[in-house]
Amino acid sequence: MTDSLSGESLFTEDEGDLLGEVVNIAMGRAGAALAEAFSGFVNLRVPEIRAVNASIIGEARARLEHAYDRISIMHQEFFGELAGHIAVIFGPASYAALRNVLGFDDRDGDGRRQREELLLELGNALASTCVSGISSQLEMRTGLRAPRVVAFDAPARDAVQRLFGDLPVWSGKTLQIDIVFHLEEHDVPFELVITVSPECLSSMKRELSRRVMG
Amino acid sequence: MDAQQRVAFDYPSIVANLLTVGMVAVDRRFAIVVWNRFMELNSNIRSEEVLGKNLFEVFPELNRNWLEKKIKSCLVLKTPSFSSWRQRPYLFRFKASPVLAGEAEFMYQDVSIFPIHDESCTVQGACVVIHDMTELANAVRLLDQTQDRALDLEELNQRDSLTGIYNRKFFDEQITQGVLSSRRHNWPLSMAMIDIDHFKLINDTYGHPGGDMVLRHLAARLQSMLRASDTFCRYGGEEFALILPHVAQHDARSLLDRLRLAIENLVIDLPDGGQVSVTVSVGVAQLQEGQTSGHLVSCADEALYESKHAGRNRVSCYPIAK
Amino acid sequence: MISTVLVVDDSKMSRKVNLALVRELLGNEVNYLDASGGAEALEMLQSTAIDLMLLDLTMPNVSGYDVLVAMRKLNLATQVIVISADIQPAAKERVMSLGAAGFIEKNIKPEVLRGMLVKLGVFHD
Repeated sequence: MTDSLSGESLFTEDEGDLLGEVVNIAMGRAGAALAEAFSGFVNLRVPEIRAVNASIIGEARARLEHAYDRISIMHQEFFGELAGHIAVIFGPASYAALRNVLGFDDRDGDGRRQREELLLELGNALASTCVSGISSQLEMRTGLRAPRVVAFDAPARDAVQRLFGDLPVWSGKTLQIDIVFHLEEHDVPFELVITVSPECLSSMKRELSRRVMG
Repeated sequence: MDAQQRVAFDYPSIVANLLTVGMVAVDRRFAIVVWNRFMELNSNIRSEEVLGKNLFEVFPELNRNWLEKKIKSCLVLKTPSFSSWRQRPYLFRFKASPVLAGEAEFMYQDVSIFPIHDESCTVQGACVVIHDMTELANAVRLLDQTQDRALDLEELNQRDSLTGIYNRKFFDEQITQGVLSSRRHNWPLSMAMIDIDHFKLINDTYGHPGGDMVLRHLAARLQSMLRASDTFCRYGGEEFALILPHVAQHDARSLLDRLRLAIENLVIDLPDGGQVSVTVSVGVAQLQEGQTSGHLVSCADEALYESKHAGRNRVSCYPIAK
Repeated sequence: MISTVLVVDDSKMSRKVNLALVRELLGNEVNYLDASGGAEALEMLQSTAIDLMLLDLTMPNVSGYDVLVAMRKLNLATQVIVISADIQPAAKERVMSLGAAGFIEKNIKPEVLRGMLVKLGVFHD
């Protein structure tokens, strides 16, 4: 896990370390909850936290464009004391694997709408468990808005453009949490990118520093 | 306000009487514990009739498989779950208000489901909230329709109605664009003028229906031999223009030779049962340094003129070899 | 009788917190050591007699699982309590089958640790 937080003035080394642990624990809980909710999820590898750092949105954008060929993206906003955006990124292989795992039966059909529903269902489950895991540990209240499909099986470049094109322009740096999930038997990764709204950072820092001192 | 003056509200009735969103709460066995006014009025079923009963028994038309799964995952994950009208038009089939709904036959619904707990904070059930999205759904549908129509109109504006290929207006726009791009990005641009030989004779012999048939078939044949990046337009009565981006003169000539030959070999069936064949004369020119689109077109024209003069049914390139 | 305790975690904050928790229960007579990764932990296990180890599971390079596997070959008397963010039943099973004495969910609750130490016979009320 990268610790670029300490290099930036956002958080101290200890605060960054603690935040990493908070995310770790939130992920563990999310994994367990998902395994229980969707029996096909047993053996969800512990998510790999790719980054917990302050980065300029443009860097995330460039990385996503180059890492994938065609993707689907779900976007969900969270608001309150802890606010920001979550994007769940699915590669094409993920869909087939997820379909089995989530036990979506054929009665619902296999049209585009049903596929979108699947993405939204899973995306929401991932996003909400992760965010609520983080917010509850930090004791910062948050709520989630309804998720929406930003791109469906679109070229990565277009999809990423649509995602970041919609977000308000933030100057400077903000906290970004990047998590990669794997389903054990499928080897298909999918990714969660959480960006925290800059207005929340000082409260976050306060909570973290409180725990560091305590 | 001190404790003595605080009014003892009937809190459950606040939810029960809520009219603008639907609320249906169920316990772990899917027995209905809340059925608010919105649901009552839209379903014509009073809460007394359903409280305590199993949701799926009271509403067998609900997609049980889907809803059960959704509620269960909400209970386990302890986080809200959502459904949008865009993927699933409705959960409960209710009538839509004709005033707001436009053509909608039923109420479009956004659904959110969140876990509810007892006094000891244990999750014991779920609350399903229904939002009426009909007005938005209708507006989106109209917007999509309008966008489609706008696109169609735009297309219509750019097309020649007889042959279906692009028209002169579109050519003028495209050639200007092409010249600019070519200069900016430094790639070759060629164009060709194609004119049907003795077309007046065709019209005189076979009448306008015959002439039209020839134009249509010729245009179709040529179009089928071109790439997506090539712009093929009807320039005048019997004249066509072809814009070839990223193509230099040499390759343009080869292409036009092939096209000319294809037309020579083309047999066109006439409306009255006869058959006719035509030939074309072609002038090719490549965009030169510092040339405007107007100049380019004149060069192609000159080359076309040369083809006509030299006997027709041939391709000439600018500059003309003297 | 416990004389040396080793706390292993890649997070400095976690090490600090967990060390404090154990110290609270076992007192100052005990020697407390810490390691920031699996490789360091294995080195220390082989150079010092460690009675009790609190082991984080998800560490980069050499993970908690890797440490447990390596330990089997080393035939050590160390009792291992795994501390884990990954709380799926599969993780717990695997850890126990690799010879761990206990499994505690992160963040460690003092009473849970206490109960575990009592169970292992390491701590007496």
